[in-house]
Amino acid sequence: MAVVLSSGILANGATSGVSLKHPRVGIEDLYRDGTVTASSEVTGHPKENAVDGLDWDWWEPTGVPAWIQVDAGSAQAVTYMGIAAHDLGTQGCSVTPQYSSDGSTWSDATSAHSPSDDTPIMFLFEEVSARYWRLYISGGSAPQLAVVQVGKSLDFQRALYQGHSPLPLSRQTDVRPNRAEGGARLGRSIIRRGVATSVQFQNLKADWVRSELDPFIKLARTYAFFFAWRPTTYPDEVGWVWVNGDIVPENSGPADRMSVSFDVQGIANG
Amino acid sequence: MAEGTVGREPIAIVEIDQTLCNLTYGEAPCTAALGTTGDNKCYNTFKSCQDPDNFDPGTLTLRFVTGRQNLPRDLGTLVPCLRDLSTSPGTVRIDEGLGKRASVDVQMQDFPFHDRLVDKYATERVSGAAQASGTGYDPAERGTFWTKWLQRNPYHQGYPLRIREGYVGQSLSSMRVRHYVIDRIDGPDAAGNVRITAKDVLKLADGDRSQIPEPSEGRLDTAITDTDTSATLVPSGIGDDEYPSSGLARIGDELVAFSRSGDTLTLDTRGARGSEADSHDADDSVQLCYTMDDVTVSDALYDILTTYAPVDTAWVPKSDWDNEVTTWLIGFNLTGEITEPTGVDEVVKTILKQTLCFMWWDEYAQLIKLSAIKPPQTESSVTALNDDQHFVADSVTVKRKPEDRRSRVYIYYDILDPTEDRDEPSNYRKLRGRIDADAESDNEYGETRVQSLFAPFWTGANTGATLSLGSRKLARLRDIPVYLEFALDAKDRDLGMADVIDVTHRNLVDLTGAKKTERYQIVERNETEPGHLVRYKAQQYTFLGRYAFITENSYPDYGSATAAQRDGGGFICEDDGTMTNGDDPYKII
Repeated sequence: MAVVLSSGILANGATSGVSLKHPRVGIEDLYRDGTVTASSEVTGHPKENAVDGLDWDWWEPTGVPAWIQVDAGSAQAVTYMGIAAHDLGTQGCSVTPQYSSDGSTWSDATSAHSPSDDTPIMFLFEEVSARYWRLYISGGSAPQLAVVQVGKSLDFQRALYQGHSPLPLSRQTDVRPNRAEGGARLGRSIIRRGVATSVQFQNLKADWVRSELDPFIKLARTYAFFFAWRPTTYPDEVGWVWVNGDIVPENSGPADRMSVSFDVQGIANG
Repeated sequence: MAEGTVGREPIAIVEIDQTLCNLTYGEAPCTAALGTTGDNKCYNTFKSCQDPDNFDPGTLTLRFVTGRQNLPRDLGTLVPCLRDLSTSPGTVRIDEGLGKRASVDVQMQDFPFHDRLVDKYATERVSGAAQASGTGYDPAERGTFWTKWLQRNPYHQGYPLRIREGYVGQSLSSMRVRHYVIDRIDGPDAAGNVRITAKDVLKLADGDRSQIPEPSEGRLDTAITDTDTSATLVPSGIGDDEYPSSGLARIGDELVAFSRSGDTLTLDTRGARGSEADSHDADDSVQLCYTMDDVTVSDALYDILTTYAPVDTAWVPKSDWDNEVTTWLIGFNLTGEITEPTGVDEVVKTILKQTLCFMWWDEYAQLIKLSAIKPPQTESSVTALNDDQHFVADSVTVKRKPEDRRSRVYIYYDILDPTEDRDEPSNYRKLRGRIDADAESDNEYGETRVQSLFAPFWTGANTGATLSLGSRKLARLRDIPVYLEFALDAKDRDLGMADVIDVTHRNLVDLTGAKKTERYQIVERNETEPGHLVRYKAQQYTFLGRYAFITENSYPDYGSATAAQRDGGGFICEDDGTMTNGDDPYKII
């Protein structure tokens, strides 16, 4: 399961009054600006690689249990933690998002999760305010982890319905076949693969767009983000994605309503 | 995953070996000190080194790939900034000796970079510990990967560049590797594109980089007459620095055989090797000559390439070269002089042309290959290709070059004066010609097409070789040369340069229109889509029929011999010109 929900959030069926059938986006990231420490690191694969927003270099601890922690400087409200470009499933690890007010006594934000594969993971939980946050890894063998983010998720006002292709089903595969002069199938190569889809929302409240969506839009110009389009119904369908242009909302329909659409591409379990 | 896997995922990795010091800043023997030798710690490159005397060069291998979702982690850190990779294939020019050099054009996308992969002190730059001021900064916010790399590595020309071509799931060592050296890096341009051009190692033999003989610095101290038997070299000490104790030198247009003591030359022979004795002025150059005296083709080429061009001896399979010479080039030994600095590539090309050889850089084996123009060693070494199992649809083209056809070949040899023009017929004592009268007849081509070959490194003792040269040359060129261009799937990509192939294709037919098999030799290979598609160019092969070495004495008669015995060795045919079972007879070359 790629979306991991805390027991509290499951009981409520919503966060911030927003149904868990609505998309969740994780782009805020305390690791980005905080002080990062880790339990250990293999030479050439330092902790900084897990928090630099790149999926091609990675942090690798020398063993497990392992953790990568951020000191945000002051208590911060948090509702999600995301992990991508990892091999936690392959290595047989369990992971738990944890928080602390003093950096020494830790509480679990959700129960431990043992991923069955190496696809992106998004933990969602009820808002907790704490200064210290960490990803705790136990069991299995030392993993490799390229992306970890923690912060407050953006909970969309509207759900996605028809017209949206869920990320894992939106494979972008570049295939090259070779056919012989005589017609025989000589070979077939997959040149590259990934996922890409488009997201479109209608009837968003204009003040919500300005207060909640616009900060996301500004961050999305630079950073990739976790995207779970329907957390409770399709918890496997999470991606770590990015946009390649500006997201531009526009007025539509009744007064004070706006619509927005944008294309994303990235990695998922496609 | 491999070539034959359906759904294979090709991956091409560009590797660059940059020089990186093995030492740590300020730790013995490195004497660098922050605030004393520099304001910032070095980047372990020579350009940034603050203690050059103790620079200890090691190697950092950077790997670049095209971005994809499933970048394989087991191959180490792969930087996904590769945008495009195109190759200009090397070519074998069988009748020219030395083909076109292979090159590769790599296009990268520049990007902001945190430096952790290339800077040992990247973390200390952030904390400030790498700066004398103690003030930290984020390397990702200063410059870009390539702008910084080029500043720190200005001496990148000549760095090894490799292209690894494999499939997702393969180890680095399982992948095929092409080897080049960096020639230039352009950019970044306004769009952040960086372009790296790398060449094969035979580029090192080009005349603007390597000359034979090397220019001599010595000059005559005073004028000499055409009969003087001694001379003095200036500047002082140049004799011991640049000249052997005896040898051949050129002064003006005269060659002199000399013996030497210090800067004093004893001119043992004036007007040597057919040149004319003459008087010379003070300050005239005394150019040392390169001489060959009955040396084998392989010995000569080895010496020229490894002594006068920066060609690593590891790139020369000398024993293979020797085998080629002792099998196919008996009587082709070289004698002669090179009397003025000449491009190594030009000299190599001259030798190859006059000895029926061709040379190319095998970018996969990382070897300079040498081959005589010859029949295939065995029939089993010939690869069969057809349009049902091999040729990619719509890729096959037949081209003809009537301008290359020849009906007679003239070979000029035994040079009169090596200081004069080597391409001037009047500068040779001897001439041998081969004429194909049938080809010139009205029933065939009806015209005369002449090729003149100059063999400046053959003497009268090589007359037999000139006959062989003329016959083989004419055999190759008496009919219009035919070329075949085609593409193969990666499953057949083992086919290499100079390999011989038997081609069956619907465009190659006999007089009745039925498909027939023709023999070709690969002269160009270009893996245009690494791991997926390879394009080839092949030249029609002129050694048709069954050629073989003399059969071992222990072999049975042809009818009882095994296929392997029949493949490698020749048997005497019956009176009717066939073998006992009706097979074609063997030919003698």
